[in-house]
Amino acid sequence: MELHFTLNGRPETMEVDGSKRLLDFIRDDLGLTGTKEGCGEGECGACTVMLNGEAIHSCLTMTGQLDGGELWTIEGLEQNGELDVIQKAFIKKSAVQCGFCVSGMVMSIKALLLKNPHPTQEEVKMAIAGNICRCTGYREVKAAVQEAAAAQSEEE
Amino acid sequence: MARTEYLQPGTLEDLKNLLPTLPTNTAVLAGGTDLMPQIRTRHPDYECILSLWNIPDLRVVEETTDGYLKIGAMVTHAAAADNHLIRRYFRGLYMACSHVGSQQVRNKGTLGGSLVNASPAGDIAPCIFLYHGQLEILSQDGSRRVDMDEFLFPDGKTCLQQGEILTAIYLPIDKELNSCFVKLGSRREVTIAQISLCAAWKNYSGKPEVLSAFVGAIDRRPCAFPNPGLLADLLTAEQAAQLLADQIRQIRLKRTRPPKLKLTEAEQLYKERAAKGVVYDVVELIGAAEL
Ligand SMILES: Cc1cc2nc3c(=O)[nH]c(=O)nc-3n(C[C@H](O)[C@H](O)[C@H](O)COP(=O)(O)OP(=O)(O)OC[C@H]3O[C@@H](n4cnc5c(N)ncnc54)[C@H](O)[C@@H]3O)c2cc1C
Ligand code: FES
Ligand code: FES
Repeated sequence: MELHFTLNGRPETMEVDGSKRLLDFIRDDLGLTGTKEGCGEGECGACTVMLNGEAIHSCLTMTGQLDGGELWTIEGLEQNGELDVIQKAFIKKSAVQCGFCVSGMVMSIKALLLKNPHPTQEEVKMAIAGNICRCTGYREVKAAVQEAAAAQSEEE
Repeated sequence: MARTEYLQPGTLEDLKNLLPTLPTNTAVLAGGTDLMPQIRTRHPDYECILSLWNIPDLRVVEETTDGYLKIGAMVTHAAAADNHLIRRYFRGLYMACSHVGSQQVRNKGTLGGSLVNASPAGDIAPCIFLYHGQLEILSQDGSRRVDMDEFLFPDGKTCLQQGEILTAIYLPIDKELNSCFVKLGSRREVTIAQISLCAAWKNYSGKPEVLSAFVGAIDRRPCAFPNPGLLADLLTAEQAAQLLADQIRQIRLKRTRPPKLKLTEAEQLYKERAAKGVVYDVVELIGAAEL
């Protein structure tokens, strides 16, 4: 099928196999390997990307579902050589160890802050409940979200 | 292997026109949160995928002139939890949708997908039974509406035939009706129900009268709670919990085939004990709604 979509802010048109997993399309066809595969069945959140402003699992999505939509992957967050506030906050708060979960975690948080710039602790918890981290624990991640939310509102 | 054809109509009209042309080996794709894991484990060789993803009409929630709330089959759990009409008239459904899986699952999983997938642990079906909902089914021959009882059979199978599409859920609006939904599972935020309970009640001169209640995840399809009136009062909560534990035990003893939900002995016993937890949660919610 002919797929029309926006990739990290750039319009794209491509001939694709609509039934291919979006995760494979992103990693193999687009060459964007920041999005990771953990479980492949919706449990770990490592494959999280943003479709039309919402966090979704790319492992549970077919590429055709992207048609007419707007896709953001972790690679799209850095703008003009500068990391996104969430990425900076993760570094500042040491919310990264092996890093495998981080792109999915950051995309979940990006979607949360777009909708809700000042989330409560409970809202943060709900937003990242589907992102499993085996290393860091969630305290640092939650601190990073509060840091990012504060930095974002200062920028405004 | 031949490439799987991917069809994604943009309107209901286009969908109707496609139905007679579909190969028998076609899979319907809604959000994909159940279908994709199934494809991954079973490797079925689908000739064609029919995606409902881009049909705006299937995502509408609206009041009908004859007193129903029509919820499009492609409304996601997140959209349902955010919808003011669902929140106002069907609080139990709103509560169920707000706690399906994780945010990613709620953003993609649909109410229609949940009903057609018909997992015994699904959170949506008990609510549709509770509200006496009807389902709209589209086939080559046109559209029809069936009661939930006719849609989901006691053996857990649905009445949908190959090439039929669930297009909407109709829930009768009763402005006096209040409702709630609770579940207990194995992980706090991302929880597939081990047991769920929803109840609907009305207030008569300041006192709640529980009209009906349904239990999910204890049998192949949701079961009516034997004596819903007991849920109205903390004084009868213990009796209600005992009744539910007995019901779970009877279902287990009556079973001749292995359960669709494969549970260990310990998990089964957990379920009987969890009955008490969901009963007390519901009784408390009904009590709190009074204040
Ligand atoms: C990690 C995880 C956690 C989950 N947690 C929960 C939970 O807490 N509670 C819960 O209830 N569920 C849960 N689920 C299950 C699932 O998300 C829901 O059942 C979901 O709503 C399915 O909808 P879908 O749109 O993704 O369906 P799909 O996966 O697209 O489809 C499911 C099935 O229904 C068919 N189908 C879908 N829509 C239609 C239609 N309109 N007409 C005809 N056929 C159709 C498909 O062919 C397929 O066989 C979870 C799933 C995952 C992966
Ligand atoms: S790889 Fe998608 S959720 Fe784990
Ligand atoms: S940092 Fe290793 S899994 Fe999260």
